[in-house]
Amino acid sequence: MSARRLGTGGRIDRSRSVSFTFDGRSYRGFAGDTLASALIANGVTLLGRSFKYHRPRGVVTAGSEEPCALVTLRSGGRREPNVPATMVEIHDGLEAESQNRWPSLSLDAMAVNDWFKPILAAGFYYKTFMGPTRRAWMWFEPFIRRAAGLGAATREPDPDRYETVHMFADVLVVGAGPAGLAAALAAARAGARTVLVDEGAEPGGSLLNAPAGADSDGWLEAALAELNGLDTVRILTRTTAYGAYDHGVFGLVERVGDHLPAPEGAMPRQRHILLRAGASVIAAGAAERPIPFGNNDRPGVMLASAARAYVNRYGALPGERIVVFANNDGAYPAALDLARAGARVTVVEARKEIPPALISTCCEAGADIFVGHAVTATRGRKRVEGAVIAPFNTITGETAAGWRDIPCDVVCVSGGWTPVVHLASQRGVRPVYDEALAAFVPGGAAIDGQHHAGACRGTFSTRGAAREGFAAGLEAAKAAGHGKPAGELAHIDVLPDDGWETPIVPVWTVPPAPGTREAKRFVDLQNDVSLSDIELAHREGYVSVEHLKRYTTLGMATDQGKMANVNALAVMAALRDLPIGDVGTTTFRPPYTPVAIGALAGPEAGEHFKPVRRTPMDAVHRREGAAMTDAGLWKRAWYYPQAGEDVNAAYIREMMAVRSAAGMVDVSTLGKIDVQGPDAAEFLNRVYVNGWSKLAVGKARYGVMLREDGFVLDDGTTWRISEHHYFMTTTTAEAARVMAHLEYLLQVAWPDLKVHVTSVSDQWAAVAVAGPKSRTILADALSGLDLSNEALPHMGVGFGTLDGIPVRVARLSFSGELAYEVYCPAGFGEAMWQALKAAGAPHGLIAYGTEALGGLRVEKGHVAGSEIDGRTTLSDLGLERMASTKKPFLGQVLAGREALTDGGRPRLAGFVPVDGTARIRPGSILQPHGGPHEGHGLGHISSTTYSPELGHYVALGLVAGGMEAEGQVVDACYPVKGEVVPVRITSPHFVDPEGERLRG
Amino acid sequence: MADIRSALADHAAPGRHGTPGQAPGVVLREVSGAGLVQVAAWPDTVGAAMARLAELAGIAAPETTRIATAGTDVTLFRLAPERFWIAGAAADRLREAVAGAFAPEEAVVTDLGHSRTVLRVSGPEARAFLARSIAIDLDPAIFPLHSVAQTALHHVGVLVHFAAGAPEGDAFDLYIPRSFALSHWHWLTHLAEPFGYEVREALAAASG
Repeated sequence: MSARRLGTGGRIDRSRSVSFTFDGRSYRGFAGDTLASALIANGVTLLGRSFKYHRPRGVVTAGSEEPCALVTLRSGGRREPNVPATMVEIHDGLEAESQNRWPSLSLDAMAVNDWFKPILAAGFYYKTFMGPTRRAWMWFEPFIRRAAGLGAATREPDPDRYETVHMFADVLVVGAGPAGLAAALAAARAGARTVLVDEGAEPGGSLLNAPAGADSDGWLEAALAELNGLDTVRILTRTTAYGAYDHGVFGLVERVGDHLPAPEGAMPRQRHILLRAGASVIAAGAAERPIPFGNNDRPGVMLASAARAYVNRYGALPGERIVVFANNDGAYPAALDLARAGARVTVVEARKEIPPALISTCCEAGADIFVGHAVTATRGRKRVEGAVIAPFNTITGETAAGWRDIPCDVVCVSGGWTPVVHLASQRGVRPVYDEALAAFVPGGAAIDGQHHAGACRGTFSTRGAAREGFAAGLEAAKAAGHGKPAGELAHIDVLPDDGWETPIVPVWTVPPAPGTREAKRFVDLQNDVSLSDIELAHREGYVSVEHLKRYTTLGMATDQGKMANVNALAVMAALRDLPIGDVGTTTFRPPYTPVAIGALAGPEAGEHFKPVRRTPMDAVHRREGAAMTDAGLWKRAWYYPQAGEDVNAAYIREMMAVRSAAGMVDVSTLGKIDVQGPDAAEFLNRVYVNGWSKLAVGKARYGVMLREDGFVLDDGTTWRISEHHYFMTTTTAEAARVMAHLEYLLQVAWPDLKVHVTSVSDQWAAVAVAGPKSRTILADALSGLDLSNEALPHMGVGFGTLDGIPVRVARLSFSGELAYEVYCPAGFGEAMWQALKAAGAPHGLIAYGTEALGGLRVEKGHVAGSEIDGRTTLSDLGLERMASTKKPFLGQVLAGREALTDGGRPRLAGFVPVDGTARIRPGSILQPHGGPHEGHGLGHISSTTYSPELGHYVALGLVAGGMEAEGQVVDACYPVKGEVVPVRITSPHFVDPEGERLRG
Repeated sequence: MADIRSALADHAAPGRHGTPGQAPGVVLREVSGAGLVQVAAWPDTVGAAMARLAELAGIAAPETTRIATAGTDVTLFRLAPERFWIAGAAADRLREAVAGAFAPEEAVVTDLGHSRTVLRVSGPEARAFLARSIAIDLDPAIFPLHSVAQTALHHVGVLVHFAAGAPEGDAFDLYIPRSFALSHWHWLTHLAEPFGYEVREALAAASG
């Protein structure tokens, strides 16, 4: 095997051996290894199969920009696909698997796709699966879907914890390389609260790619010592700044537990941090980019800087015979370190001229060098076996005759460096093309609070980056309001001054050597997009970068084209004969690297997905065996089943008990609003359709509110507690909306009214006691309140005590029976319930839930949420006589629009089954009896219940003609179950139509 | 007369939970027996109302919505330019006096004593813990003693008050709408597990 572990060197901990598996085979590595470095050290070079063509792929980089070596980690609910092997820290017991191959990595059946490459070009799906019929695509779709994608996700629930944290800083520094460390030092010394983040396991960035023990390590140590000693500095490693948002808000993800076998105890696996920064320094570095040549995707083709990282950081040599193909000075440290580590190195320098000193350094290190040459293709399929090189003219971009084959197992490529400008681009900053650097750099100085420094600004010298970082740190601190003297950045002479001596000469692609066959030149490795796809896009007219991207899918993989975009732009620019700067770039969007959905959800999953709202009697209902139901965020008692009862049996029994004796129901969820002030009555007059100025103290009134557009908003009952003090109730569902509506009116529309509205929904517990025995029961239970018909008539309000608990009582009825609503401060709610229950027991009082509550009001023809659904007017609901003719009210004007006063609108009526037994379903569409059953018909059924009193189902609904069509038969159609039920239109007041019971 | 039942009844037994080890990072306890009375004035009467309020409470009324004023058994919050809360044990004592202290055109009074559950969060990791829940910068330089924030906690409007400092350690009171209190208790205790937390007996409001 050619790739191997070096005997010495690297920053791994050789005293801690780690065992892990890959595709079921066991391997050993060391603490500090990534999965990629450990596999390389074990001679494993085949790690995956490409997306479309299933070509063998290996490790290309040593960082998060990795396009090919994507693996699946762990199993069961913790299984995670598409993880770059270069970012996985190995630990004992790590289980990793390759992806996108069947039956195995080395023998993948789908590799046949590689033979169909000429047909499977960009745009293949759009052009091929469109016929012969309109449904053809859906026939092909399952096959395409099964073949698509890389890794497979699990369907099991994720057992890990995730946290969301809100963090605040004066200065955020992104990247802990030389520029970032210097920036953090400057900002912290200037007095700023500083947060320094790095996606790596340790701070240091590019400094960690120098050989262990290099002089720069001393600088790194000193910088970290100073930063760790300051309590105004937080260093977050394993943390990626994935997104930059408005107002200096950054999204960060910290991988808290991924480097451990499993998060320990209550530790989260990952932490999502929303950080608000006064200013930021972006020191995110630059990513090396490859050069497209023939078969440039074979395992063994990698970035030059990656090979250097494997040697210096991980003590792993990627191969024995290494070709280093470059067009810039930045590749030479890699070539030299590889040679010193014992590889046979051949440098293939594309530029025509380089300093003789550089050539002699190479020779002294034992490396061969060809100047003015390029690698045109590789040989080998499951791994590189050789490189074809030929003379190359950087000006014409052409190769000349005289190719030669160099046997090798690794080809390192360095086509230049791409500053990581993502966080600026996310803020809409268009990067600017720098001809001299052949790179896109962030335009301008500080943009949107972001100060760029170091390689991400095009400063590739380590020493220069540190200097720039320090200055940027001071600027950012100043922008955030901190300017204490920060001294100098010490000892930076130990940092290499390794900027370029000779300028880069761009090489965007290498054509085949004359006399050799053309082979695919990959530009986007992850999505298998090649040079010919870009040429095809250009031929077909998709020449803008936005079209190029979407037509070819270049840059749309999980790596967002980090190594592909610039090459693609340059190729398209050449095809269009435009300067690169004129072609433009696409916009980067968050996240910079993929973020687990679990991290974004944080703890808001399962029972914590949304809050739960409980009434003061919630515990009692559950103890009494109530089945609970959701009403928005509230939990309400739905029904109280006795032995063997289902919901239907229970609610029917509960309704019968209420009408024959008495029942009590928890109505604490109603919206309750305290309305006070000298102008309170006037305010009520304006928001309700009916009049309020004559409501006496100690009386309550039913009211209806309209929206500004004339439709009914809500109904409720408002009590007059004292001269300027009203107590308004709303429906449960509309409570918040009505509250916001009232506040808006007082603050914006009528600020001159002296009224205050305060939500007191949580202040009061409320129970409705309804039924012929309700008065007797309350008279037994309450003190200090005369409940006789004369003292407390229908709609009267009174005050008393119940077992010492202060209560306010209104004689109101939703059920149509003699009924009272009893309110007490919430902390006494359970005691009130128990006291009422005790007082009611001798009289047959039962508890009833929302099902029976609904059934009772339907029997009476009272409208509720199903009728007040935002589409109905007062007239639709039969409430037009409530509207005052003496005073204006909100919504009055627009309620007069033609469409809202049209006589043909569906209006409220009651419905009974013609056959006397059928069940009418809510939501049924009403159609002409016997047909035709078309479109939206004549109206719909809004609410239904079985009526124990009448012995059959009854329903409320809206139908064209309303009560004018009384007696007519229509069909209630329920297409979902294929039912058609003939129903007769009747009065909606099925039980006690004269309303005698509640006046007793 | 019945006792006032806590929304957390039967769910907040004293005990140590979460990550075991040394001292708990977070201490949680309900503050019970505190009243809450709201006084709401209007732009032309707020000055006089504040003066009357200060007289009744025995401490100055808050000048801004961001800092509360506090005495031994009373805290005054300013929720909005013309809206004030009297909190603490004194609120019950003062309720009747306050109710009668203003003419209708000067200010209106609303009893909110049962509408909130007050949770006190303290312990060495109190700020780090609250950062898991509220998007407020609690750094003492930005949020000094008696600072107030009205913010969203698990989607619900909650008032946060930096109620106490040394020597017992920094403590934050969360005023949570009663109907959400138990749900928020489950939410907060879940978030407190990594810190190791201790639930203590409810704290009587009178002891401040």
